[in-house]
Amino acid sequence: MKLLIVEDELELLNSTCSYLQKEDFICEAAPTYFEAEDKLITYKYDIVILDINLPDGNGLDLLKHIKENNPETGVLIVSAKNSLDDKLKGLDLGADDYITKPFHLAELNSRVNSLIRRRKFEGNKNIIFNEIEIDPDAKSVIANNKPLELTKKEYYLLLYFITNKNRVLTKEGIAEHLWGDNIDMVDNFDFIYTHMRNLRKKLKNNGANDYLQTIYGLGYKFSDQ
Amino acid sequence: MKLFVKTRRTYILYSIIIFIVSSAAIYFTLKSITTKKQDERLNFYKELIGQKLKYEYPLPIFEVDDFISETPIKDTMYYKDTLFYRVVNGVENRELYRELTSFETLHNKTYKITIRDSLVKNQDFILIITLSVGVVVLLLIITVYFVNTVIMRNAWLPFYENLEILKSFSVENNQPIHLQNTNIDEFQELNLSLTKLTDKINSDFNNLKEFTENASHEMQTPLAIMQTKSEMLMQSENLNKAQLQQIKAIYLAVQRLSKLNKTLLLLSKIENRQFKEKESILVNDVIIKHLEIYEDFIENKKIKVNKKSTLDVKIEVNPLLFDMVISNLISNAIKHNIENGSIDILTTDLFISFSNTGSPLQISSSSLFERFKKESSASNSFGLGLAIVKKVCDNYNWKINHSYIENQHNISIYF
Repeated sequence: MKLLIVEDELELLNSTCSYLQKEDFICEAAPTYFEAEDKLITYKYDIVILDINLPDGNGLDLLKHIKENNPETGVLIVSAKNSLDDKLKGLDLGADDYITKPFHLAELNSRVNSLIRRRKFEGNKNIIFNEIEIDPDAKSVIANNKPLELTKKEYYLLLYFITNKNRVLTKEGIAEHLWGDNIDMVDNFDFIYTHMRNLRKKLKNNGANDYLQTIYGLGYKFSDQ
Repeated sequence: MKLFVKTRRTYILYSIIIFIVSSAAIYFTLKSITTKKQDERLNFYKELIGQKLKYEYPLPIFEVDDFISETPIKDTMYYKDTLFYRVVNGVENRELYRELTSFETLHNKTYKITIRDSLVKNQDFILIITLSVGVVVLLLIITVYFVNTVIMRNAWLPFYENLEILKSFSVENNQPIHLQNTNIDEFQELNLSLTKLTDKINSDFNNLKEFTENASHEMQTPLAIMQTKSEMLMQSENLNKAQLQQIKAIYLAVQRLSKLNKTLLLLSKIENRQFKEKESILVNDVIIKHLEIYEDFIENKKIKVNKKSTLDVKIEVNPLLFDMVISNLISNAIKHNIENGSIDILTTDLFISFSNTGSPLQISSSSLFERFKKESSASNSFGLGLAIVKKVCDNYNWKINHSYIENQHNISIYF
């Protein structure tokens, strides 16, 4: 899977790159419009993560370029401008998703993965983590060769964990992923524990291993290591 | 009072005064002139009679007895107006006469000489002149009045048109105003100043918008770096508890800051009325949608939700803003609720009302909708939720109201 990250802020580019590289993505970085254009002409990418505010050009022009020359490339727009106009313009021009700065790296990873799943038509789309297998089309889960009945929230929680396996995930990031970032309930995370406990219980009843680790004070990690 | 009416009233008032004063002045001037002339004439006759008395002694027989009579008293001569009866064409008339009374001493005898002259023709003359001058003045006043009205109307017409243009001026449209030209210097000057002023307002507004947007952009990028770096740091192996605590503190602070930044940007956008698109929206659908989103929080506190509504209440509103209002009101009703409490939602086509059980407010009801007002400083919220709701209500001229009756908070929005 080949990714191009277009981002003028070098530090942000570094962390995004190194987070996604751990997911076995081949990440290439372009800090300017010029470099991005150059790379897009020379190579073909599966996914482009595109910051639309670039010092030497407008990312929306790059988006047009991508859609004209490589329409099968998925584009995820990153913008600091939390404005509806930009969002609509980007989606109108053929962007597949839109994320606003600042974002959780895990969230970005989830969006990229779901974009890949939507784009990948051939081959097995199912997400497999040891004895757990998720079919994202049917939104069904098989654990330990037995179907696992999950609620909507539990399903998305599991998908989020497996997409970001072996990573420390914060409660804030999980809450934002499941309930949207407009939810103003930061002082109470009890509701996450409830879903977490139920998910754990269901996995255990199916005979699957308990991969969920609590990281002191921070959040959770779904890991077999 | 309109300037038009005011000037007209003043004009009429002064016209009446001038009319009366000028008529009176003409009348009295003419009267004094004619009286003086008449007195001179009477005096001349008196001299004539005096001469006659001196040289034609014994006295010739005068036609009228009381013209000249002997009198024992000698007095100085005087004029007076007197009424005199005269029979004209068999009708007895009282006519006004000017009378000169003088005294002459001849051959040791004092004679009183009285000369009269009718004032009637003078009076008629004065009246006719006064009347005709009055009519001319009146005609002049009326003509000037109408000419003035026409001129004023024409001169002020562009002014009123421009006033309408100004009334419809709005910064959000970001359009320069085009005022009507007039040939009146003062109005033209006013137009120039107004055009300049509105252009300045437009450019200032744009600058402000740009500044808010730029500032938020500039802030969000470093925030994004801080957030991603702290998340990367979390992934490091072999962190001890103290380090984890510190990373968490940094991470939470960044979260708070970015949330605050987003909310403030949103507030300023609502204030700048940048959400102009409107759609017809079913109120119930929005409420149901948000109740689903908040389902976990409601269940977590074991809150009972009762929803009563007139079906199919539709309002014209920006969907994004209305989402925000309902979301904030529901989250507010959950947050300030008690365990096993209740939320009652009532929608009609006139208002929506959210009631929830909860303890009384620590702050006043009126300051509830202000920015950064919150119940306890310990809570993690910014106290901006209801400020956003209020701003949206202001935007659409809705009335919002909070009350606390029998352990129930109620927030109602009247459309």
